[in-house]
Amino acid sequence: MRKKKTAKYFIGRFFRYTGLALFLIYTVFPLVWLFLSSIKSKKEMYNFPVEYWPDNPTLINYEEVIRKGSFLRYTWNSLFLALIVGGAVALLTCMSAYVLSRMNFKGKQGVFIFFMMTQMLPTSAGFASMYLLMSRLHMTDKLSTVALILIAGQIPFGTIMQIGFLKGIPTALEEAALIDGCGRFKMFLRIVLPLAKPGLFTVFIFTFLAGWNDTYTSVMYINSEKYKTLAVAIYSLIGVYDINWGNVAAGTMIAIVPAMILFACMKEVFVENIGGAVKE
Amino acid sequence: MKSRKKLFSKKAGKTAFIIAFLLPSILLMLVFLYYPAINGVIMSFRDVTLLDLDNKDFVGLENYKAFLDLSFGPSIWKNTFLWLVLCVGLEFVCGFGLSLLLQTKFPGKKIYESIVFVPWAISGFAVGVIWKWMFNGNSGVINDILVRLGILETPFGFLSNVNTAFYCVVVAKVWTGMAFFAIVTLAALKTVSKDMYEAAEIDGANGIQKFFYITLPSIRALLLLTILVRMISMMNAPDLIFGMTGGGPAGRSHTISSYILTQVISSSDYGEISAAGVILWLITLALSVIYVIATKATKGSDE
Repeated sequence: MRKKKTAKYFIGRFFRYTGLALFLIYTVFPLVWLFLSSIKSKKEMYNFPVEYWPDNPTLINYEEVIRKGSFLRYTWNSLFLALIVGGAVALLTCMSAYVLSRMNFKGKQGVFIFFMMTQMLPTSAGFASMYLLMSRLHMTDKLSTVALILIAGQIPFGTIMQIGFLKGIPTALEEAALIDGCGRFKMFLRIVLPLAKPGLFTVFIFTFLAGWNDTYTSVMYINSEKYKTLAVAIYSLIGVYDINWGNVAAGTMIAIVPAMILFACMKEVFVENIGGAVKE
Repeated sequence: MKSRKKLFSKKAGKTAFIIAFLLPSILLMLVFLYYPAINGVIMSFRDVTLLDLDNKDFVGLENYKAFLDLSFGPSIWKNTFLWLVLCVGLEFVCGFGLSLLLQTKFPGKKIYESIVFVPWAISGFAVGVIWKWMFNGNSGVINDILVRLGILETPFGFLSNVNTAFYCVVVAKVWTGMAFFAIVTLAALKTVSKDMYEAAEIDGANGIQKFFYITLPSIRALLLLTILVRMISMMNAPDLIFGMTGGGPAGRSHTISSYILTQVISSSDYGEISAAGVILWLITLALSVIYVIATKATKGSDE
């Protein structure tokens, strides 16, 4: 009886660890391959059969994309976009969530429906229409246009999230402040914002990542060198007939490593909220 | 008299506060979400092209016909269907499997999770680029492995073949989607009460029985809703295909959303793009309706 149990125990363990190992390989292999490709010389890059470890690791690809391709500027543009989008959405949605969850006024239900209805809009039918509108307003090829579009798109999601966070904060302090004759704006600034930090922070890093990772909107609106984000720059690199894969690998590394570091550092925040969103 | 004045100013202050706090968000949504969407639907019935932007002629369903008559139209429908069913299905199976493996403790679990979940944080576009290089037809690593294993004799152009390109995209998408489902199902598994497992153990149930009689029935509703949420978001997820194949070869790896994205960038027939967008929206809407019904049904069964 006892012997049977141990055999079963080991078989179970074997399958479990094999499974875990397979998932790990599937996840890590493409990333390792990308990294190795980014430090290969042009000569080794296109060998077949493939040489996995480069004989002479080189940073030439990084040097090329940064010197010739001005990837530092693109990185700055992506970072700028992510910061603006993250910051604006965090603040705006804290404001709207506060009004929608804490205050009573005429037409509140209508405003709430206005926020929620955005999820049902034919957004996909509007891409061409939005592009025309932006051209008419002479707003194409500007980072601020991309930022505004992304901010608007994230407001409904951010508002719902912040309403959830505000629910957990007691209202006693706010009421006391109002009774003491503190103005509403001052009260919001001094009392609500500090208390709402967890919500602000969570919405900020989610939308920051969305801004950093944006492809769709940047590629659609940005043309000039000056305003290119990393996604647009990589898109230009793969848009040619004879793709320089070493440069693409280095550029892609520059684009994904910050996102991966952010995720690894904030894993708990991400995991909790991705999982939590579905549970409700 | 004095108090009345004070009361009035207080009320005005409240109104000013509400307007000041809601107006920026409302204006942004009005200009960047509501206007384009509604105007887009109108445009889908008009003959709007880059050469004739102010054309106000209604052309009925011409734009819709043009989209439905695309030479690679059938493959768009097939791909969109596979994207929702095959791709989400594989993502779910892999992600759920992973989260079940993560139910037991082992050394380095935290680090392991950080690694296997990380593809979630990478943009779909970058994922597409990474896998485009993996599947490269001349010196791609996947060809290398297949040749070394003796499955292929010479490298094969996976992404330039009309029959294989889309399935390669699916492999890449599962790579990121798996992480999403693992995170979500892990949260769902936490909701199953430990008491039930203990009771089952006392009754002599084995692992498989526990899974089918306790785990699965307890989170069935949650899993179904997760899958539907994922399908809805996948309807509007063009960036991986955009980075990996650009819809090629010959448009054969397009889904509706990736087709729209590439057309907005490269085409000038805005009426037709809008019509394709309306069709995509109708499918999304149908999925959302199913989601709402499913939510109500599962809530009812819980009570």
